[in-house]
Amino acid sequence: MKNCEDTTLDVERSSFERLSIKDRLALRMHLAMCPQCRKYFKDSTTIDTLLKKRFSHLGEEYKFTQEEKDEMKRKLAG
Amino acid sequence: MTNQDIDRAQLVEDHSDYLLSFAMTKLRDIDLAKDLVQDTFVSALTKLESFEKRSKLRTWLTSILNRKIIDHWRKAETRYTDPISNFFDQDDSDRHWLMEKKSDSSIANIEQVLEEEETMNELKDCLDKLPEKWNGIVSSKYLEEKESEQICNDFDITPSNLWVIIHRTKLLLRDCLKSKVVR
Repeated sequence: MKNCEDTTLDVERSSFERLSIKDRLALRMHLAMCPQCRKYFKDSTTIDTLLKKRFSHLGEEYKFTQEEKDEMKRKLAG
Repeated sequence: MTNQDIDRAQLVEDHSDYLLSFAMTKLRDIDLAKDLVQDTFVSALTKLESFEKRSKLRTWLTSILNRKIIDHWRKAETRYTDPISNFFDQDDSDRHWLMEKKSDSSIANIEQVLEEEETMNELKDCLDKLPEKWNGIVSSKYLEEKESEQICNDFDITPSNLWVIIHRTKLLLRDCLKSKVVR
């Protein structure tokens, strides 16, 4: 039986790589029995969704001033 | 493409603000970010022949900028001897968060509580409270959608370091967002 720490790390690992059958089973069993880790799993998923949303429309949140742009153009013109 | 084919002024007009915004998902210092963007244009113009038309110009510029950000971190590490891995050697007392912290409420309903724009603003605010490198890692994963192997390489960390950083990032973001919802 995996402990809570291993379980929460496996939750994050699973977003990068496919867990082995053994780890997937252990994760599922632990989540079924542990309300705290279930909550972590739920919050982790929510934050994933929020972060994906935050980065899905990276606009031009920061801007150079026109003077800075002109200065850069001058430098690049060589 | 050769050096003559490219309109340098147009390059700056079209991409500088985007590149700056990209850099600021990973850095806090806007002046440094601006310097790195400028360096990016300079480097790009000296190696235009390595640009393959198959890839988009912006993607190519972003990858040059990204390399510069990583180099900056590497240099900063040797200067301040504060490698990210030090973080894991420090006091481990906060690791057993489940035991000591009773977190009864969940943030799963945050999007019902806050307007989308408000949620995104709070999230950005919370991201700013993370250690800078963690922002870099979050951006690598969620914006650039890099594989774990690439991220570990860029940041000189092991896969288990990466899971721990993502885990702690989520805990910090959760607590931060929770404090914004429960007011």
